[in-house]
Amino acid sequence: MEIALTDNELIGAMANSDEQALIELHRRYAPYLRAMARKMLRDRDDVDQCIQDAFVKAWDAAGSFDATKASAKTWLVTIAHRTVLNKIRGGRLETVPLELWDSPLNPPNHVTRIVLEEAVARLEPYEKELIELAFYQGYSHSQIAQELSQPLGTIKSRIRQALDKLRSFLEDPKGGDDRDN
Amino acid sequence: MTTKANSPISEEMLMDYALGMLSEGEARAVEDHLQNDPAAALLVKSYLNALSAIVLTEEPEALPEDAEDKLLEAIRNPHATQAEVISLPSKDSWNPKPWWLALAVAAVLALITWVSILNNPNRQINQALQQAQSQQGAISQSLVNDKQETIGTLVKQADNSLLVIFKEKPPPAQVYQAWEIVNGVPVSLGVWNDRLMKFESLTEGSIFGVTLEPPSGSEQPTSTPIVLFQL
Repeated sequence: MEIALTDNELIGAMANSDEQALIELHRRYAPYLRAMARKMLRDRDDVDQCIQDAFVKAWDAAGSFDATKASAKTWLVTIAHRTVLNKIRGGRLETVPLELWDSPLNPPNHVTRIVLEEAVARLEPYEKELIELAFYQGYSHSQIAQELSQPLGTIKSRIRQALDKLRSFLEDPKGGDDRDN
Repeated sequence: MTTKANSPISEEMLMDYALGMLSEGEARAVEDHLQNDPAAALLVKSYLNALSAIVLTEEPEALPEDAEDKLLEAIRNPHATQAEVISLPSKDSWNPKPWWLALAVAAVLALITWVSILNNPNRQINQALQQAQSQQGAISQSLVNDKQETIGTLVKQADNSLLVIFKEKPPPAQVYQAWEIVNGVPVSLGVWNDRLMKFESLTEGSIFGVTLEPPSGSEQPTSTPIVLFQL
């Protein structure tokens, strides 16, 4: 297996039952997904089980993965996030259609990571806290409003503002979030 | 970017979908909508990309030494290690039958009896029950069958989280399968081989149900529900 294969090429190989391709994708992303899951779950065994389950789901879905449309990175993160939420919610199954995982971003490398870090760094501390509660802790809007003693409408608008800021920067790093202002 | 005019799916709902905040029924509705609304689909994509960016800026964590071996074992022996995955019913496949409605009324009436704690030898389950019942706003109700025999306890929290504890495990070759019924559409919440089931923040106004199903679960309920609870 060539280390230089792209994520999409690895998934293509997974669709042909190439176990080594799965292992390579696992090496690239599982450490990040484990960090995410550790923020969401207390039990380390649950964390590792969820990450494993996420990659098993990716293995099973690889055959229907459209390499011309999808980014493995967003695909894997979404699968893993939903898998952990599923665990938190006691077994509820959630899916995401494959066609939603299109992404303008490239596979992770040093430059990409810098861009990602810069995007996240643009969030205000309170925006990071909101994203933490919503994305990592699985809180609903009303739960966050109660936790932070703020109006529900304020919470909703601020979460949206934070996500808009992120996606705006990622879509056009040079333009930053000025476009939305 | 806006969703289609007169769309029942708001941009806020799209954001909630990306965050994983929606119930499964709501998520399905969004997914159906996205098939015909490219602008909404693009917005969801961008939200998912943004959230992925957050994850990929985390400090990566070292994996257990045996993680790869376990993963390979899982894909080679999926039935031994893979998490439960069952098919879900489509909206069109759900055709409410009179017995559902009749039983819903009967079951809700039967659930008015309050119970303290089940006579349960399993300490962990008893502790979970007691802890759930001690929460502020918790409502605890007994679950009874058509012979008025107690088969378990249901505890509802103020945020619509549920804890369900049955007195017995499911019969051999069957599992408990939980359903959330929103607008008449049952959506599977998973299958259980054990006595204890937990659910977080179910949809207000939905009906929670449990049926006995084959071990792999069913796409839609195939037996008379043993639990029906209006949230």
